[in-house]
Amino acid sequence: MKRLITIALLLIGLPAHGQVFKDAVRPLIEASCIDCHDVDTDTPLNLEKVGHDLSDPNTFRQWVKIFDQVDSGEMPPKKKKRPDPTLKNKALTTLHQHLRDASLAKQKKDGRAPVRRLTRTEYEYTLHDLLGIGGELASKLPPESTTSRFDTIASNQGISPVHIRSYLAAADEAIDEAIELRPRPDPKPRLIDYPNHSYLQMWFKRELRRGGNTVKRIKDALVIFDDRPHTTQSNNMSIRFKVPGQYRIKAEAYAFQARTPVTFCIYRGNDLGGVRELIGSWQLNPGKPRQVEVEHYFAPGDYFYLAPADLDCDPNGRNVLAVGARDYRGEGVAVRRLSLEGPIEKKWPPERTRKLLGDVDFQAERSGGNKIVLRESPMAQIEDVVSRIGPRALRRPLRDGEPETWAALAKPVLQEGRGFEQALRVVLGAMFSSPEFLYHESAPGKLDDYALATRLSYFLWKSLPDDQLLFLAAGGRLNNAAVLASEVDRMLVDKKAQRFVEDFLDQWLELKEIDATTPDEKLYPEYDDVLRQAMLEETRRFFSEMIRSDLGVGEFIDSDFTFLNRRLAEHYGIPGVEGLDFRKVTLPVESPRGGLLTQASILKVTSNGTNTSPVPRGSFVLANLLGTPPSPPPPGVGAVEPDTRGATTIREELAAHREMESCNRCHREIDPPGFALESFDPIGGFRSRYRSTGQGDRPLTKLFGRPVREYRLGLPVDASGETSEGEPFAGIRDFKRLMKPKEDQLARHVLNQLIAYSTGAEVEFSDRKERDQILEQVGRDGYGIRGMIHAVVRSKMFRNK
Amino acid sequence: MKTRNLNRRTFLRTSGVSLAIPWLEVFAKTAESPPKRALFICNTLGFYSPAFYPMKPGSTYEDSDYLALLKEHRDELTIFSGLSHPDQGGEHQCEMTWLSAARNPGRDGFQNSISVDQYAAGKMGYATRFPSLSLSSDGPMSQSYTESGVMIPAMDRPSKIFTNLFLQGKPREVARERQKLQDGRSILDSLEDQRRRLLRKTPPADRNRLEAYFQAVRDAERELSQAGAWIDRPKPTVEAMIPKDVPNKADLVGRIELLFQLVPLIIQTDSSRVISIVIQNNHGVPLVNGVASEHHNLSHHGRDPQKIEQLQKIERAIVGCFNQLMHRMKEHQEEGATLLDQTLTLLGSNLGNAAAHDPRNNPIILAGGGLKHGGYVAHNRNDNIPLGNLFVRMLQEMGMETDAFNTSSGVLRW
Repeated sequence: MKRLITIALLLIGLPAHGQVFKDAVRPLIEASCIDCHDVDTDTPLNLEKVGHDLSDPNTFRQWVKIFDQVDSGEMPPKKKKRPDPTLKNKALTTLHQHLRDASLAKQKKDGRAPVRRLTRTEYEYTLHDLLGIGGELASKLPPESTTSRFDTIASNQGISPVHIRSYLAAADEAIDEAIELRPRPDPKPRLIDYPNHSYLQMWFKRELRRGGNTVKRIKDALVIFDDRPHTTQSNNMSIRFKVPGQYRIKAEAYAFQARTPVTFCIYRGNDLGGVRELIGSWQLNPGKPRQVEVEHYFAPGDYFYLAPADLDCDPNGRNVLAVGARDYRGEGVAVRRLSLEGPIEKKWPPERTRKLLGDVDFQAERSGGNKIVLRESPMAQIEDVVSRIGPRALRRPLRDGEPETWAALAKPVLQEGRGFEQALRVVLGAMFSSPEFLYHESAPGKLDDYALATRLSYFLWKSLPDDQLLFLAAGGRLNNAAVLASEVDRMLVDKKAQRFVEDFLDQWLELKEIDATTPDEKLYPEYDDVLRQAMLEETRRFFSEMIRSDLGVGEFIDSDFTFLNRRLAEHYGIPGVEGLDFRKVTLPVESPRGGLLTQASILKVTSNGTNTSPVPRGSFVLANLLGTPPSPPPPGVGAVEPDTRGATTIREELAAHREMESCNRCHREIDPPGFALESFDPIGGFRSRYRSTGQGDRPLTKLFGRPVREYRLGLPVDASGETSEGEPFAGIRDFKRLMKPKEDQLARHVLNQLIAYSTGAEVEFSDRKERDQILEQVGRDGYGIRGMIHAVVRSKMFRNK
Repeated sequence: MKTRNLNRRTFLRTSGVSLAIPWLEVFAKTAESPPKRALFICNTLGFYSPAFYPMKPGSTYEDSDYLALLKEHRDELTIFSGLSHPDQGGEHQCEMTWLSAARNPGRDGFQNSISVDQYAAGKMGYATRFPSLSLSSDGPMSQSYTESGVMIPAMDRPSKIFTNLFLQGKPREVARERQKLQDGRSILDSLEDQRRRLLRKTPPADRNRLEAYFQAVRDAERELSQAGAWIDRPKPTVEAMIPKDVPNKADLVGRIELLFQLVPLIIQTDSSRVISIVIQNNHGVPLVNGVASEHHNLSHHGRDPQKIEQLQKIERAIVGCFNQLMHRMKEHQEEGATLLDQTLTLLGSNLGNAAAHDPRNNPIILAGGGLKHGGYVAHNRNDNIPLGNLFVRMLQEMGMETDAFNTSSGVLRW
């Protein structure tokens, strides 16, 4: 009853509450805002229509925007009269207080972050860790909403019958892989003797015009000269992956007719999903053969194939398809033999199956398969499985009687006579589709130890807590600051932290868009999978190093090091990096590289396949690094169609653009960073002239060991400009220097991103105070990333729902 | 590399389908006329409008570049200008609202809403094996959204779509599938039991979110039970081989052709009455003669005549596929009417001018569906009529009693 009265009071109280701030802000609005923001003006904001009930999310959002615009001085616009300071102060103070109160009230009632669902990436990792499997599951679930930067933001996560049906199907596949009862695959390594393999003989013999003669047989090896899969595809050589698992490939290869180092690649392919994944690449130096080895997961339907990269063509500048392998003098990769081992399992049925099923025996069947032999009744065995799997899957201890409740689902299946395995599948299927598995739910207020373990583990590992986290939670020790900090350190050195690095960067820096456009083959013929992989690797290693060594966010703007292998170093024109293994490299003083913006991955995701534009690159700097995304062109009025007919460069086009006031407001901010990045082409190479397929000079550089014939060098690049503050810059190095003072702003944005990503809710109005405190504190240590991660985990935002 | 392999492209063994038409089994008894279907095709990068629109409105218009490719169907289609959903914007964000008409895609606080195909499918339910089919030239992004604004993933592999629709499983497979459905239903049933306990300790805001989950569980359960009813009915047999997917993503035309060839089969077998197709993800340089740049890059032509010429080559190829589709839909009869007469067929785009990301003035062609056609209906290009008005008309023609769809302001007549 008491609660009812409180609610009633709140309801009556609201309008009065609204009245107070209405009275305080109205004078300012009438004096400084209403002229441009009423019903008769075509600005997007109509202040007459904005309500005063701050418990309404839309109204609240609008007032926060108004507060920020006035507080930062963005509004009223510079050319209008300055508002009266007393009026402004009073309005802002009152508005601030009411916004904070409303935000706090909401957090108190509902908690800060709504109940959040596992993302599809998390779903996959969770089942991988829980069941010891490796199959692809994320792609079987509906794509996540793209409304917010991160898929972990609860308020934008959807749920539908499509999800539910996909969860049932995905769980089914996961359980299929977990319970492996098929005959044991032959443990003997399978050998491919390439030069003598019957499948290859036809490609050796067949004439070039009939598609053969692109590979060559020499005394002891097969030589490959191009990366088309069909000649070495393993499924054409009667090697099929019947059971999923980890496989080991060993091969012996050497550089053939090579004057320079060449690259030997192994790919995984799958025709159903159109998969083509580079799983290993090695540098082969002219001279002696090299043993290479890679371990990778393969599923039924997969195959592997071999490919070369970094090959110079023959002395006449022709490639193998023009000459035919038999007479070809260009570089190639010679492969002697290959062995395939796997699935790598010590026992059969494999460890994961034994671990899941518990104390059972296996009996070989006549078919070679295995039968489960129970030592207990099926029901008892199922309860045993539930009581072992349940606490990990649900990330909490099971309640009294809960194993029995889950196991009860098995009864009808057992009664139908379908046996233990089928019955268990239904029980596990139910658990993996259940709300407590799929959602992180907790009560408003401080997270209990288990909820904290869950939040922490999904932040840094993208998966369920391990035994130690659950053990600490059980002892009620995780909420202890020292314990929590040492857990963060432990988790960050774990291999699973790589998932955080990848997933966070994929979304924050949009690296998941790396393949959204394909570089034009004529303009950027040097782009290939080895380079693509190296681009991503550089950024991931760079960020990992920042975490490991607690480097400050200033390194994002400029750094004197980066991570390179030979391929990427050549792309950047940095000498002295040999081999395809990545390492930390100190950049030459004169190099334009250093920091995030000059990394090829970032330069690639901010351009399209053929050219670059300062606009998306500039917006990227504003939105993804500085946290001040330019507003989209206002509906209807902002869509200006570029006309490049007369204009010779994009720069002139944009200059014309900035002459219009409605465009200039944002473009004076957007364009400058984009101009500074004009020195980099769509694949992140440094350029002083644009490449062109039309007019221009022949490049003096060589490509594939021959003169470049694909493109010409066109107009010179001008990477100079002037920042919106009026500071001139000559190019990227200048620009990075001018960006240095924005370190604080960058730090705030990075911190905001970490908070949003890890807690499942954006920084809210009432969180700003704590956020700013953290910022000040980590700022004293130069905004170290590791320090930020620690501070986020320590924060109230993280430790409360 | 660019040789076109017709055998690979054309999987139809004959020009059609020979079978007992399922809708007859269902509807002949009730003496209903064959049902009306709807087909929504979106080319997400728009159509270059000077090549799309005729100069003058009315029925005596002179064919534009693209309409010349469709001239054999002139009397079966209508061209519209001046239509678009209100309050769209943000580069390509309006892709996700083209069938839903939700306002301000991509803006802060945006929430999508049900798409017109799902609205129609919801009304029809499991009258057909598939209430709706969402197909895509590449990737799982679709324009089909549930009531709560969640995307329904599209299918992009013709071989798989064909298998689902037409290939009879072996008895053991069917039994296994039936068992799976049954198990799925009992799993979903059991989840409902957790509802009360869970909601009791949940704060109010989360309660809505969990209720949405439980609603989804109930809906999924209902779908499984209805799908279960179809398991024992034999799938229709068609005189076609299973199509061979086109793995090369740059082979845009090849991929579109395969999807379009499925459409008459779907309709004639009454496997579904609502189909949406998105042409998207235009990776790399499309394999179209005379085209050397990426489709997306060309759509930002900056009025460069060379780029426009290449863009038009791609768009002509897409319109050419549409021409073939219409041709096939007219070859087949159903109770004296062609499949085209029975199918409200929409071809259009969410972008009116892709070069400027302008979401107004969507290029729109409506064909078939037994409507009066043969003209170019021009509406105000500066003050558009909601595209939803056309959706309302389509829904009404499909026999649904509705006079509004999201941002519609009425029903479009011409």
